[in-house]
Amino acid sequence: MLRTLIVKEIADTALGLRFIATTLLCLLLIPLGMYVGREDYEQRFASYQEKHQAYRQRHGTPEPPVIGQEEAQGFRPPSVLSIFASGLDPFVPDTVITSYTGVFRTVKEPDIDNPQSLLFGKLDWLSSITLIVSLMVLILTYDAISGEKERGTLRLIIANSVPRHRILLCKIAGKYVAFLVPFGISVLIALLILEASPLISITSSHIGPTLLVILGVTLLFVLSMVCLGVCISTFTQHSMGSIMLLFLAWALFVLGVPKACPILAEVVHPLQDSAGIDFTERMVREDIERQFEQIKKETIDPEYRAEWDAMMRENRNKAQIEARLRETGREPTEEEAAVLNRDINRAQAIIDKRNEGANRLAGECDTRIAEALGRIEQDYQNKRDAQSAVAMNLCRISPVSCYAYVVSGLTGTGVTEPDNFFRNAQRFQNQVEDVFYDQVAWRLGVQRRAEGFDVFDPPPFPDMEYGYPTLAENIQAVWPDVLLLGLFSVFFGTLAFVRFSKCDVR
Amino acid sequence: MLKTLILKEVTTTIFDLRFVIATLLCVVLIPLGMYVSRKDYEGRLARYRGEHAQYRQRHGVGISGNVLEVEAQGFRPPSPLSIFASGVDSFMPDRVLTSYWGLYHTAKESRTGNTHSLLFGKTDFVFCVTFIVSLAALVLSFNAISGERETGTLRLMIANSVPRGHILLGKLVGIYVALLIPFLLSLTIALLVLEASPDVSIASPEIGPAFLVILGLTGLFLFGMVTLGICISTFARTSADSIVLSLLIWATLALGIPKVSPMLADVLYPVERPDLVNLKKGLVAEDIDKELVAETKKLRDEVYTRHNLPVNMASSAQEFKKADAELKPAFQSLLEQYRKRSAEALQRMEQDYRRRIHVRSLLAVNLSRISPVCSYTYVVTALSGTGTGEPDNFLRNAQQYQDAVKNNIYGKVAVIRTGGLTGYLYADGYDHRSISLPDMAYSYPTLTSALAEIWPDILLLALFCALFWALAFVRLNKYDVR
Repeated sequence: MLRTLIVKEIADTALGLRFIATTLLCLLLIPLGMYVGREDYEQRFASYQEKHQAYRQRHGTPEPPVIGQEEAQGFRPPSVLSIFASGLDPFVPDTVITSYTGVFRTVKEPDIDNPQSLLFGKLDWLSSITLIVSLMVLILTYDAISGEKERGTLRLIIANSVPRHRILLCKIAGKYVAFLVPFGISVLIALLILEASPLISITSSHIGPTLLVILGVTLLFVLSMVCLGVCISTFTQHSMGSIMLLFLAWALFVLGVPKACPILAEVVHPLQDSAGIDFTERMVREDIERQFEQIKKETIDPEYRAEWDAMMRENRNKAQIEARLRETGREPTEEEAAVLNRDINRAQAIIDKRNEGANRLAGECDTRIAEALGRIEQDYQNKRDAQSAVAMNLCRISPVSCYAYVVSGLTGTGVTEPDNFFRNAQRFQNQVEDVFYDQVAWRLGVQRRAEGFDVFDPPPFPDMEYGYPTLAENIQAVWPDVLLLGLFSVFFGTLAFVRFSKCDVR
Repeated sequence: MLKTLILKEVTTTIFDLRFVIATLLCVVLIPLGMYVSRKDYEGRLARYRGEHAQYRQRHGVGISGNVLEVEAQGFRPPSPLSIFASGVDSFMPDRVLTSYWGLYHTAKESRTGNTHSLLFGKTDFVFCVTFIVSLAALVLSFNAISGERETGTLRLMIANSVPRGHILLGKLVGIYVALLIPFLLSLTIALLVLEASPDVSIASPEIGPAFLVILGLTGLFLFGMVTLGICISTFARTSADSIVLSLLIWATLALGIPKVSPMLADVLYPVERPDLVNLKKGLVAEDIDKELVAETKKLRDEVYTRHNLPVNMASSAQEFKKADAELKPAFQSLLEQYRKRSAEALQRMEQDYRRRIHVRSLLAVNLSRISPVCSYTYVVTALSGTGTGEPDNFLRNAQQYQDAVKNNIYGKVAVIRTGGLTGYLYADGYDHRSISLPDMAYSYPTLTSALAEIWPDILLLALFCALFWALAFVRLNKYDVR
């Protein structure tokens, strides 16, 4: 009986106008989105390679002599999986520019030459599933129970001693399998389009496993939508009521909750504007530098000037004594001999002493700046994390948000990618400091140079090795959302069962 | 009779569950979206003012250092009307950095802000209208005809000798008026939220007139959506078929066509990425510059050799001054020649690229105009200064700024580089201590020029209303009311 019911459900769904519309939309939009995503990725990758090559050829090794203004650059390669979800990719910086000060800066080259695409957004895999597929699934399933009740066939089925839970299960299974046919075909076409690219191989080790996980999670999401549609259907007496409730549920889950919850999080946990942070950091750095400049002016410089003046006075004195002795032709007195024999050529020693003092001060200045900026960044980071956690937890009311977090997390374009970028950037800054900046630097007008470093033959800058999180790390980050998707399916199914069990089928 | 029909329609709609749902969604999302847009605008304005003030403080009067390294910065202020439509604003550069060599570049703040908002998109006024209110319009109107047919009241109305045209008009006006109630209520709350901002005033000349136009066009768009819903209703025999058709058509018009058209245009007419084009331009400029340095050195070497002077030295001695005086006009002419060559080469590349961008853009816009949602979005974003024309407007302002800085500063200093030595030729009266970097006077299109640009979309919105009405009228006349 179970098989009969499932086959009946599949046939019912497949022979309707809605199924044809769903099939057409899936077959059109999913492969087209994948094709355009692939073309876009190929262009971005080519652009990244050209920029990187041009940089290495022209600025990879600093031009001698090193003058303290060199800046090593690192470039972020596009993630191949960003074809599936553009996510935050358009907003994450492209380039890291390191600096002697220890504070790197990031650059995002604005891409405003396709404003229509920016205005309406891309139809990538994530948008297709969350916007189009979710709506299609709900349209296919909204009258699963209420429609049968209206037509009078529900009581006939129950009159055949079919348990209610079995009816519900068959409805869910039948609708799910029926939807998977056009969906599966369109996904297959999309994957073939992807495989046709010379840059992408879906069976490769860094794409294949993640792709399987994405497909698995997508199937789980579609199941949760089917369960939601059937659940909605059990709450109403007529199809019309179902469609109203469907409209509300879809608007809330797809549009309302994902957009409103980050707003609520901002209200609950307001954050200083990010450019305000940059401004504060700049001010703090300049203040500290000014303070140390003042200390140098008040301590090291006067001492240096005093010693230098003393040396110059002694020089003049010695020259005067020598001139007097030449004029008079007499022998020097004991006092004069002492002056003449004194080693007054201590210019280098005075300079070295000043440099040593300035170096020590410069080191303290650097440490103070790094501590102060680190504190500001940490504070901002903590507040941002708190806000992000509230936003994420609020958004998780909607299965659409959970699905978006999972897919964007797996593709390297999710809410944690900006942090990943900054970690990579910091690592690169540290790497360049070890190889270059710590070997030679200018601070407070004084050059510091490590032993063995030749400013006329500097080493080449290292390359930035940008690391995206591994699949294991991603799964560890997104498993709550995967679990939630499963729970949503169970929840909607259970709710549907409870309602249907009490439902009056007459 | 028409008044009775309209009143009946308004009453029926208001006492429906759908009206409650639509009201709830409007009253929650529209003011909330306006609040967030207002806070976002205030933040951006504060940032703009802060950065501008800091910049002026650092670079007040006088230019220090090498003129080659002088990068004047111009800042783009946020458009106050971007509260209504964020459009392409999130992607626009914040500033322009000029350069001595004529190749300005643009930069954008790189911190990402609220990542969840970026992932799911903003809830501005345009989003609320195109997604929530338009869907509400369809949901309120989808069973206008098919529902009455199912309940049997349609034939009763017609049996009372009510012309079909009046029935249609009554439904259209009644449902439209009913839709306007929650929309205007939520809009009033949203405007009160907006007016509470110290930085924004609805009545100001830069916001008021444009806002009235936006409001009028929103009314036209919603009228079109109600007409569409009624039109769909005349094509279906049952309410269930109506709603499915309505949702499918809505998904196509609001989601499918807007996102697919730029993709299709890209497929039909692909264009190189801008960063690749900028890279190529940079490489061409560098190559021409290298040639200039080589030519300058060659010229200097020739003249110095003729004067029996060492080529790797510079000095203020009399014989060097004589040779330098002979070189000055030749250097100026060479510099002028290479500048012109560089400018022409870059301009050619830029024009070719812009032409291709323009063709692709035109294709995307025309493909997307099948959907009234796209036409409405183009209209409101253009009026808000965040539309598809804003990138071109930005580049125009950037070029004007580059030219202004060139006229005031770069054009008054000729830099002569001959391998290891760099010399400067200053124009008469140039004093780097008293000159100051000019500000960028960024201008958004006026209301008149925006309207001149978007009139095809306004016309299309009106035509959509007429088309849907005509279709509905024709279908209703043939509609079997039994």
